[in-house]
Amino acid sequence: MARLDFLFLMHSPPDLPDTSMEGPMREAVRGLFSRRGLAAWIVLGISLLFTIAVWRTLLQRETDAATRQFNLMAGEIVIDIKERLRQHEQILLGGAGLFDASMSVSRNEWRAYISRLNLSKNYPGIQGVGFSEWIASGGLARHEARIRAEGFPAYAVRPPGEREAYTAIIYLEPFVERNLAAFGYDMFSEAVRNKAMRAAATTGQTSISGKVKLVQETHGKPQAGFLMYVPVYRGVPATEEERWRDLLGFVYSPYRVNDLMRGILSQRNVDLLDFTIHDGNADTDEALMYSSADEHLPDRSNRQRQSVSERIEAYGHAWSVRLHSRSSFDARFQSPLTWLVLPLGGAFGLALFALTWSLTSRREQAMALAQRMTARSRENEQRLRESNERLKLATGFSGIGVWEYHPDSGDLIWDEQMFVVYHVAPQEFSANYDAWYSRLHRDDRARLEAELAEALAGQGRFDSSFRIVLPDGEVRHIKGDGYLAQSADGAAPRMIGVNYDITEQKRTEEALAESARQNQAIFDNVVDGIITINSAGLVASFNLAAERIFAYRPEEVLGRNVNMLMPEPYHSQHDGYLDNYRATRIPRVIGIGREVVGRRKDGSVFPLDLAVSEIQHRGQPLFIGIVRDITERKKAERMKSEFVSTVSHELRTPLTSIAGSLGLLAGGALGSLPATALPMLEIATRNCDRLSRLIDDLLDMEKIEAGKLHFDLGVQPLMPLVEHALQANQGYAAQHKVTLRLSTRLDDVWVKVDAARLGQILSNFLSNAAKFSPPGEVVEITVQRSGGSVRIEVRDRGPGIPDDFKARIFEKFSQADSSDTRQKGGTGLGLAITRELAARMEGKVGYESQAGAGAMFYVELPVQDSPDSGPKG
Amino acid sequence: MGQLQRILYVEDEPDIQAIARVALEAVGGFVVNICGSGEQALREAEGFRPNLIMLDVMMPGMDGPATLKALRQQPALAAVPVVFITAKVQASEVAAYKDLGAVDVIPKPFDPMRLASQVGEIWTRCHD
Repeated sequence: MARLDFLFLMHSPPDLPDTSMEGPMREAVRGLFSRRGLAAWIVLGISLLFTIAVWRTLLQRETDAATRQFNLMAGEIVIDIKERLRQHEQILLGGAGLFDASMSVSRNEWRAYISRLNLSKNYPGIQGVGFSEWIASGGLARHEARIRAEGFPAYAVRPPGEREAYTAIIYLEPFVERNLAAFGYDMFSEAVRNKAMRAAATTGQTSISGKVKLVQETHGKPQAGFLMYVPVYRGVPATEEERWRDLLGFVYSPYRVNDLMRGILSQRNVDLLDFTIHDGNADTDEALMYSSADEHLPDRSNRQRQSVSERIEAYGHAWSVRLHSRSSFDARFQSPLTWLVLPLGGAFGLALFALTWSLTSRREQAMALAQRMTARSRENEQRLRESNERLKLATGFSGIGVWEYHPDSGDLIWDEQMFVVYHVAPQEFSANYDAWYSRLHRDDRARLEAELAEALAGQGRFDSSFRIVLPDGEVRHIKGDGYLAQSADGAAPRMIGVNYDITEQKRTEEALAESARQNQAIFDNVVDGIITINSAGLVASFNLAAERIFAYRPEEVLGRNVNMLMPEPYHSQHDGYLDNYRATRIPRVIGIGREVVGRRKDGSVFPLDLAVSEIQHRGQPLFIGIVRDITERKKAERMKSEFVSTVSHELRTPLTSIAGSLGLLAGGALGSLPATALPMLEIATRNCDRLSRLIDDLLDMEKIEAGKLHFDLGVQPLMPLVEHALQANQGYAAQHKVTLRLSTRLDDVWVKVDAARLGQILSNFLSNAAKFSPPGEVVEITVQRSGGSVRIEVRDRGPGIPDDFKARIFEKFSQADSSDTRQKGGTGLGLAITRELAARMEGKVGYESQAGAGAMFYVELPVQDSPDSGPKG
Repeated sequence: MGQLQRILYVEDEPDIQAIARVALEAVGGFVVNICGSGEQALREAEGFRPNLIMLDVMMPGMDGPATLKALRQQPALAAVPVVFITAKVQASEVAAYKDLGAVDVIPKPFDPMRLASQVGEIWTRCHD
């Protein structure tokens, strides 16, 4: 069907799917019953109605015609019947007239009269015409005798019996066949006949009886019958009474109704209608006198028939005649054309229906399609509008401009935001390639042109940053992205993309880059090497200075264990240090500067100053080591130290002489001296000692720093060493009027020390304490356990250590107050040496003090297992 | 064991020489020959026939150890005990000097009043 094609013609706009497409058939069927079909249905309806109207009109016409004809026929039949009855009456009147005219009428006279009538020919259906004599009561015998005498010996009035009055049929012509049965019959004895006869006699008028069964019904199919009576009188009675007095008898005719009707209607074509005659008004079978349908084939048709009812009222009696048409009658008035109208009209209607349907459905479909498309396009519009809004909002908000470029024409289509980006007003800017090109920074033009060409040529994508020059001359950095839109075949190519201002970002980037460069420059150019390692000891970074220092390239070092930069024993110890640190979190090296030894790529070792700090980087510890090649410094130090050594040796030599000669003098080896000389000698000797100690310290320090101080370490009990030190310094303390007191002791503690050096440490503390204690004071010495170590504390109640000196206290040549030096003596090297000595014996030194509240110096040494007993502490 | 009587003292410093002489002669009663250098010692040692030789370590030219080595090559002096006089008296250094052949080390500066007895003790010890 064309309609389906039409449905398939519907296609959706490219961007949105057509979701309303249904099965065409289903749609068609639905369409049939939808509103769209209404017009067609209406058309069909109208045409059908019209057809039906025409048909019905035609039918009606037929019917009317039939009715008219029928009525006509019916009327004619009724008239015929009536006419025939009148004629019959006429006959009877004639017969009665005969009786009136002559005194008596003989049988033969009667016969002659009747035969003249030629009833069978002229009046077919009439049974006969007869005369029934009135016999008053008492005259019966005479009557019977008379008739018998005429030659009817068996004559008797039937039915026999006593009655008030009698009638007897004495004449009936033709006196043959059935009529013979009537001879002598007393019709007056029968009720129905009686009534009619009475009526006739009373009124002097002709009367008809109701339905009777004639006595003539002796054989054959019985028919309904009736009789007509005309009374005959003697004379001309005027009153009812007279009539009964003068009644002679009745001229009558019996009728067999069927025969009568046949006779009446023989001229007519009774095939066309049926009628019934009922006696009176009743419709019953008893009253049925005649049904024409019996005469011929029943009418099988069930169709509506014409029918009419008539009354025949005649002679004091009424018949109801009901006539209806037979199909043959109706058929006459039925034109097949009438019925042809229906299918023709129907067909026509259907044709119209189909046409209308087709038209309307086409139209409907077109409209529906148009509607759908409109709706969809509206939807699309809406979506597009929304999308544009969104885009505009988004890009406007974020400063992104959207552009479209048609390479063929050179046209540009810019959205609002693009103009903002380029700082131009739409009306000032002609939207084409050249205009845009002219806004590009001179230096970027060639590159951009090339990139665009590349994108157009095949890459399909354009991704670039470039500079533009604003109208006021300011340069801005722009980022541009674009892509070549896939075009439907034949459509011109176009590029669509965005631009946005990245000047700020660029500046930030540059600043960051600059900052990074700066940092990198600093990093690279610091004199000190910076090495970072992770908690496993693997090198994470290695700066330029480190490269120089170790003569490794970064790739040779990164990711490898940092101990590759150390000689033995550090090389093997380093992992242990890290493990220990990881486990105990006790820093040995971190935060402290240390002089260590490094190993260069060529294997040469050199002194390093190492400072380590720890940071957390991404949850993991990272150790940063600043290393400084102190070879030069060391050399300088060594030179200094050698200098020191040389000098101290040079100093020592004359000192020996001075001390020697003084000693000899003081000792009296050269004889006695004047008493006044002795104090002088004393002074000289004392100061000589002091000088000597200074030189010793210097030499010690030098040795320590050169690593040349030899330690004779041995595991031994601690207390004896402490006691020895106390003893050794007793004299010195006494000189300062200070008491040394040992407050606590630990007797079964063993330490691994060089006895002499420990003595040196303790002497240093004790002499300092004595030196700085006010006279008469006590210097308290305690020995205590402290975890896995033993701690020897020397407490004095001197001036304590001022805060600003605390940081420098263990440094070389540092003394709190240079004025003290002269007063208190001391080289200023003591504590520095002490610290080194303690470190060499795995111990450490420290102090606690507050200015004005005395000082406490301690040395801590790890406790050793004594050789003979099991592990202690 | 003989008596310690004759001591050869090698020292380049004149002042210390003087002190040593007093300390050893006047205080100790020894016969002392003082040489100002290792070379001189080598020349004079055999002639002097010391019981004990005291060597300063730090001397220009031949230092103490070198002088000892050279002296030992003189058969007459091979058995003479030698004592170093030096400022460096750490235990390890002492051991080193002993390894060289010295019997002991006396630290500088020395107490001139005690020097003689120190030497005497050493003499006694090495003859035990």
